[in-house]
Amino acid sequence: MQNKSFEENINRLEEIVKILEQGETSLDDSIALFEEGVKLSGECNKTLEGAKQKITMLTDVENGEK
Amino acid sequence: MKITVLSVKQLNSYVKSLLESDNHLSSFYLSGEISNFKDHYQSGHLYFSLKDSDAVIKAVMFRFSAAHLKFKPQDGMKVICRGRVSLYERDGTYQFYVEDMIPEGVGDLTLAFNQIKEKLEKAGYFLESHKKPIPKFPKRIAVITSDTGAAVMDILNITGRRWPLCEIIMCPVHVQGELAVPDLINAITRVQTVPDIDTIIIGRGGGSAEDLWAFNSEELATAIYSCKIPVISAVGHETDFTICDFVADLRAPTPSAAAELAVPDCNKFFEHLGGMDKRLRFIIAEQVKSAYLKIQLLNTRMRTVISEMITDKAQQIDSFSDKLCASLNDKLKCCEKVFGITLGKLNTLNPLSVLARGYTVTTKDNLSVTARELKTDDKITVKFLDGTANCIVDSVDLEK
Repeated sequence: MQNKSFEENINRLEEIVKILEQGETSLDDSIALFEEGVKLSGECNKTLEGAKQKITMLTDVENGEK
Repeated sequence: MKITVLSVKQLNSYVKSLLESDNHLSSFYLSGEISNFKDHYQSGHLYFSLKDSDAVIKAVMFRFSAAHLKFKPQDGMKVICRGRVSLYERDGTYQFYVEDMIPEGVGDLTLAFNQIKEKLEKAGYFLESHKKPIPKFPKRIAVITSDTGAAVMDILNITGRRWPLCEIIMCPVHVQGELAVPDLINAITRVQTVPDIDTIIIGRGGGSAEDLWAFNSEELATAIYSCKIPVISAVGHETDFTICDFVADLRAPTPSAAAELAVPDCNKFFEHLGGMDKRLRFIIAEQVKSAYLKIQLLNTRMRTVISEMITDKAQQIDSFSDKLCASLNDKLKCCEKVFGITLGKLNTLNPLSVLARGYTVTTKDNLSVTARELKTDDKITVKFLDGTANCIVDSVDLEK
């Protein structure tokens, strides 16, 4: 499922913002990180916007997985 | 006179029937303190005495009555019992047969709850160190509760609103009555066989202490304690505390609160993402602005330095230029002087000026001659300033 990568994306995004806020990166590095950050932010937004809740009965899950 | 001699059996039987025929003694309430308590584990019958400051009576509570007790009777406990008295013929024991018992002062449920809580707490069931953290971004959550009632609707609505990314696995169970505890334990067991379940929410809506009683079960507590998946307990209202709440990895005051604790709020996330987006853009804009300023500054400094160099050099050129002119002028003056002198010299050497002073130039055959070379009748030419005379030599006198 996508959620594992959602968590990874959010963590990486927060990491990027932290690094940039420390202000010690070169301009080239900053721009590269910025691009990565914007891309991650866009993906997270898309994931959240497109999600619809799924409800399954335990018995169905058991039958389906077995 | 005839003396009636009874056997012991007859006596006991008579007294027994006396006791049992009295209506007052066939069902009444007795208050006393338990002492000499013995629980016959095999038979399940309870044997004890009830006493007060002045008297004691032996008591028995048979298994089928004792089974209904929620709490465990103990020595020293003050209780109120409903029962009857009779005589146990075999050993002549006059005793009180207890049909029902409640603790005096505190409710039987409260007492039972305290007993179970103390027991499990001693056994380490509630230790913080055993509790697992709740996953922040669950992919799948199992919800063990009744499929009717407000609790399940609240949980589904709130999780659906906050984090639709998470799949909900519904496990409907009885939440009160005899079937509750086996249902709950069964659900916990089955949920652990399903892959990828991140969190379990177990609970029910509000109710009386009796209604919530299933969630105080020791066996349920054991199942939750040994469950490999983190469990959020959400039983009743905020003021209701059950054993389930203490042994779970996290207690929620209500089922709605459980839903809020189990999943993040995606609306907050949109804000968070938006916030991070803004921060990113701001940081980059600032960095670019600062770099641009740096360039401008360097530019200005560069221009200043260059222009200084140029004016410097221009000044040098002017200075050299002046020096050049000056030295040329000097040279010119020098040359003029030399020229003047030379011209003067030339003029003095001009043979015409010699002529102007009255001298003549004499030649013979166009060649200059001296007197010695001349003889009488030589033809000579004499050049004067204003013309020439062709002459013949008359005589020659030589200087000695």
